[in-house]
Amino acid sequence: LAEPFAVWAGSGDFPPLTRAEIRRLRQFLLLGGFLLVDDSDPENAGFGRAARRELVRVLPEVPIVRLEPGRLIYRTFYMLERPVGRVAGPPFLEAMIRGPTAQVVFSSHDLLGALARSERSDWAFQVVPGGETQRERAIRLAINTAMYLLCSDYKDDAVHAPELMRRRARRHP
Amino acid sequence: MNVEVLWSLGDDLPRWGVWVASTVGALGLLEVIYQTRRQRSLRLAVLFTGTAALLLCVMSVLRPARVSSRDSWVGPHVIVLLDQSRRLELPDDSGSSSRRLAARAVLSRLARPSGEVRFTWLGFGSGDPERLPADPGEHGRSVLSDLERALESLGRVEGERAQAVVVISDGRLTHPAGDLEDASLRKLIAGHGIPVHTVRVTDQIPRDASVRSVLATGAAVAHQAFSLRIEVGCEGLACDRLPVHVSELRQGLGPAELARGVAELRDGSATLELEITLDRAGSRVVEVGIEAPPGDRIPDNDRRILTFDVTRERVRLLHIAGRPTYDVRALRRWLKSDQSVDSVAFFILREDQEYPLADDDELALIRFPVDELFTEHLASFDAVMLQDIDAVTYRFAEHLPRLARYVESGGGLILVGGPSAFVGGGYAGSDLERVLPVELNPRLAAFDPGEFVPRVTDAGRLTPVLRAERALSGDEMPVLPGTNLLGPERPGAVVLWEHPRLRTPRGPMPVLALAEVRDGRSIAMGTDGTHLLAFSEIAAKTGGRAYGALWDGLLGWLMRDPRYEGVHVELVRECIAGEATSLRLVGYAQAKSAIEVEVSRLGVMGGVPQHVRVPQSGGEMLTVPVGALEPGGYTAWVRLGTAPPTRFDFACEKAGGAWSDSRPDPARLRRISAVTGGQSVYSDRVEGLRFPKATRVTSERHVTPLLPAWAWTLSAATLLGLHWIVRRRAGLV
Repeated sequence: LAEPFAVWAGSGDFPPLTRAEIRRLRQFLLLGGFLLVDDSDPENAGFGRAARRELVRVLPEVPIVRLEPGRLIYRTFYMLERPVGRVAGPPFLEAMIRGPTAQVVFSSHDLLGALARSERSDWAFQVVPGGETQRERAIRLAINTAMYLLCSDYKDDAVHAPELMRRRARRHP
Repeated sequence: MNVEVLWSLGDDLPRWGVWVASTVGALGLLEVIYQTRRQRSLRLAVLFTGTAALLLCVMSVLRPARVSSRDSWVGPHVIVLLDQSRRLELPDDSGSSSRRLAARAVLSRLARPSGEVRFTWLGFGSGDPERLPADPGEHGRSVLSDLERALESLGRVEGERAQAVVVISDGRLTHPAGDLEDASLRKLIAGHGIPVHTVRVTDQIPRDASVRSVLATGAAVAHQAFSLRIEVGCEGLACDRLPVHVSELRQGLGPAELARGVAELRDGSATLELEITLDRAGSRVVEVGIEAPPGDRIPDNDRRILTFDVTRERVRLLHIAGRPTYDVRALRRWLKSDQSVDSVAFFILREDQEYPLADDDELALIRFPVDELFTEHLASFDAVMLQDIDAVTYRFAEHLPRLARYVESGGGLILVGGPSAFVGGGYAGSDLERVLPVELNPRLAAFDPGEFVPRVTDAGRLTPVLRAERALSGDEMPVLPGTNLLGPERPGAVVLWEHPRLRTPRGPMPVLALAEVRDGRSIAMGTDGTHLLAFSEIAAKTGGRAYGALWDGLLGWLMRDPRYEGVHVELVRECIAGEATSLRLVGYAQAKSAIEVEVSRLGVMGGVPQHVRVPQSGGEMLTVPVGALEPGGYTAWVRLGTAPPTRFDFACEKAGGAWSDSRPDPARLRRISAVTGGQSVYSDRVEGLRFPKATRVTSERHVTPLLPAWAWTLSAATLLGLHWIVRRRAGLV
């Protein structure tokens, strides 16, 4: 409980969490923590499946839902059409929502892979299929996720709505 | 006392017994006479013995007795009801005296020994009639003149009822209303069957312009316009048009005009509707005044000073954060979870010079409308929360004077710490610094990143502001990640948390401090780590609820929620200018030190407050006299030791509504007398009142039989025997 933000990334299946781990993770979420689950091997998807399985045990009362384009997380800083990471992945994120915003966000796009740097400070992995443009979109998604965490549903406030609607109209006349 | 002697018959003899005895006696007598007329010898003897025997027989039945009694005459019980309204302090017909003195003269004339009438002297005002105080100086403390209730109360009294009531008044009664039909008036006050005589102390209308009534159409809700229906009147003066103004009385500042209009008078009166908006919740003192023409004899009723209890639908809060942080996140989540808070938030997500790698259409950011917020919309907010934001970088330093005035005129302000708050945000030396609870030293570093655990001060332990948070956390506080470097608290400010190591020239450095700033309040939270009360190992013990409890208390205190005041303050009774006023303090028992009360006048600049110091008595309720006050609006600050003070605003008028309409109403008194069968007279004709006649009361009665019953019977038997012998001798059977 040092920070209210945690990232859980990995690849492949993993054994079930212990009762103590389940209890601790539930405490983290019930206190208001935010968890980003990122599958580093989305082509295999074993980690994503295992993480979903375990988080349903942590918060059995909260269903996993899709965050389709247009949801708050896609406009907390940048206006995004869809999520991307190291791979294009599905056109949505998934989430477990308690209260006004999601507390657990599932990415099947290897988002951290798109941001990772090598020891020489250059990009650690190639981004496919969109190349550097897709990496830029992935960076924007990471920033949006951070703003989603820190600012909660700030961008849902009425003061933002008229201006954002105008911008959306300009981009999609 | 009279002594009277009468004759009576046997007590146990029914009326029909008298008739039977008398009839039988008369028939017997006729028979004796008849026999006597037929008889030639012993006629007189037969007649005499027969008559005597019959008489004694009748007497033995009737048994006459002598009755002597002592009687006294009791005069009628008459209740005198003296109007106890302060309105009777107004001038009487002479102009040199008051209606009250005229009423007292009536009392004196009624009290002169008249021999018969028994008076009970009562006063009527707002409740049941009460006995007149022995000290005439204590007469007339009521604002109302409720004769209807007084008469209704007399009708409920058990025991001897009054046979008449005398009302002494000028007729401008609160109840019964003057526009009632006779039938309604009769139903209201004539149901007891007691004649009500009225004595008019004045019939003449003084030359006077006044604010007769002020009615609010709708509830006073902060930020929402509502109408005042203002009735003005003018008699005997040249006033076809009367300018009317409505102003709010604030502390340390001149009156703030809320509305102005002109009343066009017709037949001496006019009603004007003015719309006003009060932006601050709580008790607000408003003055409604007219500009009276020259010659006005009663200037004291040219204005009304009224207290409005302004409610709030929701707290409208402007929340501006300089950068997104965990502290911003926690505060945002708490504000959004509270249904009673309507927050308008602006979080600075990027600075102008930052390159976002995108054009505007790709960004979800909007311009920070700083000028618009601090000019057009500031007054619409109940409180402003500035969280870790640099006033210079984000170009609202130029609005800080306006924000300071906003606080002084009743707004709430919270500065929440972080590297860009307080000194780091360019607030040191600004106009806003003067409304903060702490001093700022621009020569000091802005922020100390050293971890610390804040120490709760004595005031922090005492105040209801932290009570709920402390009930959850106790003395255990999380380790906070750093603190803004603040100066000492300003005079009158209260420190709730202090730094365990850092000091100012005057003592430990404040971390959390509160201040009253004229009509507003401000809070300095010199750390950006309170979110650790929501999310940390310590927070886990309370389920994170201590965070909400802390901010509930702080925002509640800022908004003057009574739950977070140290003491409940109220007037013992309505404040009347020139008379002793007292405040009642409730719920102060936890204070161990003396209680200080400071009373200062609203709507004036540079006034000298009046201080009262009261020793702690340990009770739950305390009455604090604050002396006689001039007409106006006042605020009382009640300080219990080191705890944050409690503010209480109230109005003090010369006579309030009692003087608002100075016209006497003799017609109403005449009608009251007419419908109850009484008389209505002017005060110099009081001797002409006719009261019911006195009643005779017997106090002593002696009954003495003329002869004992056996003597009557024996005599009758003897004479009957004698009569029988005489009749035999005379040859009668």
